[in-house]
Amino acid sequence: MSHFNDDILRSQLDPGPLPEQAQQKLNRIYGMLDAVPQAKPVRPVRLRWRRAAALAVAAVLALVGGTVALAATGGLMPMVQGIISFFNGSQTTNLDSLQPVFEAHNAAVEQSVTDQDITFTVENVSVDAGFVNIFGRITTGESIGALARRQNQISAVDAEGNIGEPQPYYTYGLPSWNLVRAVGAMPVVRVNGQIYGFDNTLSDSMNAYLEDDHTLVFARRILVPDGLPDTFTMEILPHYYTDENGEHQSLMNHEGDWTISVEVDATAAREAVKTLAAGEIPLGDAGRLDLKHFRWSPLGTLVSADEHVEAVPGTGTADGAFPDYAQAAGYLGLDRVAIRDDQGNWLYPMIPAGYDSGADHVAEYTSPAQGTRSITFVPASLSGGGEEKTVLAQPGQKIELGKDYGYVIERIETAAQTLTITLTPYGPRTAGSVGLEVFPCGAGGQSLDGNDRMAYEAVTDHITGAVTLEYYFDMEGEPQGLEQLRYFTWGDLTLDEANAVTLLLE
Amino acid sequence: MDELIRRARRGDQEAFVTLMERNKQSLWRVAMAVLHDPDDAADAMQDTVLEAWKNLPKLVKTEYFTTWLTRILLYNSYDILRKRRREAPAQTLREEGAEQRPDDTLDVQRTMAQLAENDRLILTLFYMNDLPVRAIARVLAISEGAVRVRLTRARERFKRAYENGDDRKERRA
Repeated sequence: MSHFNDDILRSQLDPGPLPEQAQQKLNRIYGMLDAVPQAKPVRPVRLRWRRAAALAVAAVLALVGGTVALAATGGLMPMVQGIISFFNGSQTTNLDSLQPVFEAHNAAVEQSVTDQDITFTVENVSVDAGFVNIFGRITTGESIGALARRQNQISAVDAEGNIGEPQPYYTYGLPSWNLVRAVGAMPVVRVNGQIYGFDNTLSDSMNAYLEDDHTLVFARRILVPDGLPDTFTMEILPHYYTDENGEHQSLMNHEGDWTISVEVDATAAREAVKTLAAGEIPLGDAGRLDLKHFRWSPLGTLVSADEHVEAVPGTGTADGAFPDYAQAAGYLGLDRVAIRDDQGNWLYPMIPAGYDSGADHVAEYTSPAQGTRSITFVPASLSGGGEEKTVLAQPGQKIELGKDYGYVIERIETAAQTLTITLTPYGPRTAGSVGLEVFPCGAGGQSLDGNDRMAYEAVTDHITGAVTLEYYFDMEGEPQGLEQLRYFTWGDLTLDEANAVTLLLE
Repeated sequence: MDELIRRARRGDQEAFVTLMERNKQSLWRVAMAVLHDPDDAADAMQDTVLEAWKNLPKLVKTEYFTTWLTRILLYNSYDILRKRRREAPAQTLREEGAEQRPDDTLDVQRTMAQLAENDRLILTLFYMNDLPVRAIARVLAISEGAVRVRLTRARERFKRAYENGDDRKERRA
């Protein structure tokens, strides 16, 4: 009989109090603070709120609707064919699979705002009912590379308390996420007073590279579960947060206002948008999926569900903070449902998969095949998992995440300091998994650089669901000695086809 | 704590030391979860306190202080882990990492040693440091959904390993 409970878990995790030796090390640092200069503080600048008359009008027009009224303000931008310069760079980005789609359906905005000597430019937007994609650049007189490299540095302290010279944390260049962090850019949009993109900050959703040391080129993908009208005014902000003083934007640690307003006409894509009716889908004894949105549009497929994850009364601290969360009885989440089109193709969630917006789980999936007229939801249960396995690192070998599903190794490539593995999915999939944990290893099972902590990025092909894992090594030359891939299983996925539900697209 | 952070940001050493003393146990738990070695954990904390002092003026949002500090500690811990693994085979490190607590059986020690560092880390952040899911997501730079799934799975793996240890004890009894 199991005696396991949270108290046992806590007792095992508890390393005990800070030992005297560790306290002495801290005391040594406290004693030398005089000799260590602090960085310059960030000085907030009073925002200059600029509200053009057109925006006030647009707020009313958004309620009234109609192209005639919007045309009166000028600048309505339809989505048309056009080159997007973001894809001209030599970098591989995780939106490359969608380049043909974007370039068939975008507007050349070419607007810039300069504040605090930083220029925010929106070059193109590609918008439909479910997605907003923004392509642009941020230009500054400061060195973005230097800022990113400074953030990549740590100074070690030796046993005698001497502070070492700053050393880079890694040496394999400046990945997208490092640049994004350095600049602090994470564009959001405001439509009808609602901010979109604030929660959706996964690494997949923001791509960036340096055109030169002072110019960051970016592409931002925002999921809009509520859907967007055919025509609307959209404010684009390069960054956004709120506190007790209101709304703020910040780039390169400087507060400012870089709002760009665009009037969008996404009517051209309207005919191609297919949806499912929202509502609770009964899936047998497993429970109900409370589907909020299923929207298949030219720019992608978005699914959102209210998973009814609620705070458990009586848990948490005495004042009610940090309660436990549990799913309400009778409801399923997207992690318990596999989705299929009527041609037998499983829809694959992007990895990393979706985000939580309050109680709703929003996830992007690969799209149904052309001509699909219905979508089937199959309740799925996961059992087991967490088992460590290895597979030969050769094309054609399978990473078996569970019975009858996983990935086939399609390609393995090496270059200076990087290893790239491309995987093709097979079998069903549910959303909400943490993503692949795959470690390139030598013959003996040890990681290639002796460290399971090597940095890597997972990119999902938005069209096929193929996953590309790009690993970065802190060593000279190409990584050597790859023999196996070590991974953790997700568990066996059992599909309850008897209780699957098929819905017609509208 | 907000007032302490604001004062420390302006160079008030007493406020900074008070701030670090209040957070040291949480930092200790995280460092030990990743490194499982008191000496290395102490070094990671030492590096973290120094970096926090230097960079605190750049922290704009004081409400993110805990997650900011924890992330610095994680960077430093991973760096020590990386350097340590260059010098010793992984298998040796796992055994060395197991704490020798006199009141624990060898099976319980094995349970903790079997857990991967990332399992220990997320369980520590949630169950020991009482960070909410949203804060853990910020610390680990993953989605809240991923945090919940990882917590559930880490707990399940721990429970399985613990129960296997219990079974072994019962069979021996």
